[in-house]
Amino acid sequence: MKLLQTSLKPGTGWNSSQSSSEPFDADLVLAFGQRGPLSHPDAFAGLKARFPSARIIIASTAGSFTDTAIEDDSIVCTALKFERSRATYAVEHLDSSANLEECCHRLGASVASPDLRHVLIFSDGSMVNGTTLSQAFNKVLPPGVTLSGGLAGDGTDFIETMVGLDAPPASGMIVAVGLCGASLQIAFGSSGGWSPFGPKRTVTASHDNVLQELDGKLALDLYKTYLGSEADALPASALRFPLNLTPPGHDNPVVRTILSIDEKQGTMTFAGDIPVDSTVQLMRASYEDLISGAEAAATAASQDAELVLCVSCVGRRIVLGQRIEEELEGVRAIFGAGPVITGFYSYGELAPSGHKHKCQLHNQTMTITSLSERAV
Amino acid sequence: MNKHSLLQRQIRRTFGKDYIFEPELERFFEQVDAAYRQFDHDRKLTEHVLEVSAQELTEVNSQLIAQNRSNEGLLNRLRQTLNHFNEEDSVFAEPDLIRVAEEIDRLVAGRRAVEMALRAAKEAADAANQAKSDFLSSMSHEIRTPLNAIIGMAELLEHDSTRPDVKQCLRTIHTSGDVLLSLINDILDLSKIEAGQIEIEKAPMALKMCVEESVNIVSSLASEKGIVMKLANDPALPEAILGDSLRLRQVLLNLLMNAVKFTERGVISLTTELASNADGCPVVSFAVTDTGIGMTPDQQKRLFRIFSQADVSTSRRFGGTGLGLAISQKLVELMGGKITIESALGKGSTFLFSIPVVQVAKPMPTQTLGSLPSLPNYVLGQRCPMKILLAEDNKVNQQVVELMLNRLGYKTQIVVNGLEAVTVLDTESFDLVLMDIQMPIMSGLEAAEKIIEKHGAKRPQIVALTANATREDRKICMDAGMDDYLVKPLRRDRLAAVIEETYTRIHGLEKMQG
Repeated sequence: MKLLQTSLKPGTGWNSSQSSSEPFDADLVLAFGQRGPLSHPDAFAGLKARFPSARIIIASTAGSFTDTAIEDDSIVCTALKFERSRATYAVEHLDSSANLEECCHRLGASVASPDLRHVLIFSDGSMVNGTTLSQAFNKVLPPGVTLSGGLAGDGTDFIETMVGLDAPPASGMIVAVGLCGASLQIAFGSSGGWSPFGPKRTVTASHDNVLQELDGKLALDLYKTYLGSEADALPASALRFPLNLTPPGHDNPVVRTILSIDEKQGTMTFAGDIPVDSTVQLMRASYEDLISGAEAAATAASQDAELVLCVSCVGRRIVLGQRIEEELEGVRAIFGAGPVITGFYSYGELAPSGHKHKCQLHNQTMTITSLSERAV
Repeated sequence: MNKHSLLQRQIRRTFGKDYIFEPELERFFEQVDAAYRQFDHDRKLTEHVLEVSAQELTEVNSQLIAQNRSNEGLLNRLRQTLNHFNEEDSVFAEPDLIRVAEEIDRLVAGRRAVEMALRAAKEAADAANQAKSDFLSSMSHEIRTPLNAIIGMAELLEHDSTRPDVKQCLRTIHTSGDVLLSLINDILDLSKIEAGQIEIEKAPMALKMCVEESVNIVSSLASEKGIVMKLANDPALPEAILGDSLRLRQVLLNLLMNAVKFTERGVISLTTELASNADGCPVVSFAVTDTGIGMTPDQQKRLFRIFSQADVSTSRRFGGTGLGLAISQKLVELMGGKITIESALGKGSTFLFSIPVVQVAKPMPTQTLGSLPSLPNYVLGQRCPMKILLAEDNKVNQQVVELMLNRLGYKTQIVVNGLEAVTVLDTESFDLVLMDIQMPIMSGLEAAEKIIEKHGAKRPQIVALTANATREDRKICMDAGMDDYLVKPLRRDRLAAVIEETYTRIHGLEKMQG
């Protein structure tokens, strides 16, 4: 696997300190950037000129990773040239969330191949219910084929997320990349670092991923009480308090993070389902907890990797503030100096969980997929 | 913007008040300043969150404490209740929910066993009661047959006898027989009511006539005692209603007879009134008022119980079985009403009841009931000559009917079962067959059907003779094609009336056919 990491500031040019700006013969480019630089009229043309023969995957973020730094003004590009493996590609536009399952089934069918090993998903992050998406792919992917990726982000604005394949990015898109070949080594890790606190509550009114009431009271009011003066910064400030959710009849809790609020309806939309009768508890985290969480994810995904794709939750960035790079420094320390690290702050992380390797939506985690095509 | 106050102080202490920094250092201080502010901000938020959380948890805690207290109270209350149930003063001091549940289980199991035992006992009692009813029913039937003979013979002899002392003796035999018969009828009625076998008919009936007849029947008894009998019929009373004339008459007669029995002097009145009940539906109310001995409230309470009279001494003084009122009350209840009493000791009594009525427009064809003037011997046979066949298996009954017919001026041919009746009619023609219903070999019903089938329009008139006075029996006979119906014990006058009617019917028919 040949790798090149660089960044483009549309209207200004390529970062010259990282490499020359000559065209690079890549198979695949992962281009991550905030909605601002990605929306620049010259952005896509710049990428195309630099990587003329590559398939270009673009996703908007809440901060993009280049090594252990976080880039907000430029588009971070990581270009790959496969040596022993290959990739398949598919893109779908989501007209409405109603046909999400159908879209996922078509994507699954399009990237299918006898030697398919893994699927990377980069999805719209404001219209897509991540729970539905991961369940849909679980149904359609053959056994043994794993899936990871993330929902695109929009800084802390929560207005519009954009995804694209070989085209300027747009909202409502889902891109799937199928990684094929027997020599691929893939490992995963996902960890949060959040701790539940305060009283346990019961979901008394909700619909899919829209939460209305906890214990018969408006959930939004509860959040406002907890946020105090921070309530003005909703919905971003609510990311400091994700929900620890145990669905009825389940033992293992999952973490749910907020996507948006509706002041008129008094509802909150989360990145995954909030079933009625679930038990929920607010969660919080200290810097140290979050950084330890990132290190735990890296340890789980640890191998002699060539590329490390980190998808972390925007909520973690909000809490960590200036200390945000410590997450990536922790990851780098585990993997050593070898692999290229890229990734982004997202609105929802997708990764196989546990040994079953069925894809799950994770919220508020650092989720890591490490790749290598070196023979072991 | 001013730097964070702590950072400002640190800079001042280190570099002095008016130190001017290089731009790079200034940018560094900006970073440090932002970190200070984020730290403060995070700390404040954390403190706020912990405070809110603590408040919430405190609230939850106090709710739990209150809940726990209320549970304890509830548990104690439960324990008290359970101890009420416990006959054996159980040691149940510790309020423990599991123990309470166990205790409830134990008590429920105990109650269930008792309930099952009670149910079994009730079923046994019901079965015994049914056996008693069956026994009474068949015994009554058996007693009625010889009683028919006694009454019938006494009546005949009384009619024939010229000696006043013998006439008086025969009169007593006759009356005693009547009393015995009415007692048996009461017992039969009661056993049927208890077995739920009585149904109240809803057929068109002449209401006013029913009331008048009841008063007429009792008025002769009343006048014998020197009591005035009054009837005050509401002018608005409908002529005809849907109802059960037989049962209504039975109730009215019972109340009127009682009034006569318990009144020495004064007035007995029957008042009727058309009114509306609470739902606005029309009801007819009946009130039987006497100036008799009256009753205390305690006596009134016992009154409607079976075999109970106002006072044990009553039966000695006034006779009677104590069944009449119980039967009347049940009959009125079946008609949708209830008998109530207004009475005081020595002040007379009023028995009241109202029954819902449905008025029918057409007045009923007049039913003749009640006694015709007695005919002298042998006259009827000359006036209405007919050839009569009697089918009756019981020897005594044969004798009674034969004697009665004889006195009325008829010669009778007797057969002992239905088959013989059918056979005789093949070779010989008769005008009238008096047909007993229960006979060996072939019943009266079957015989009647065969006769009608064989002889068609030329068949004799057939009148049923039966010991059962119920409407169902009457219907069965009529359905079998019989022309009329006579109830045992046979009364001479009633027999004469039926023969006369039959004669009229035959000759009326002949006229129409001619």
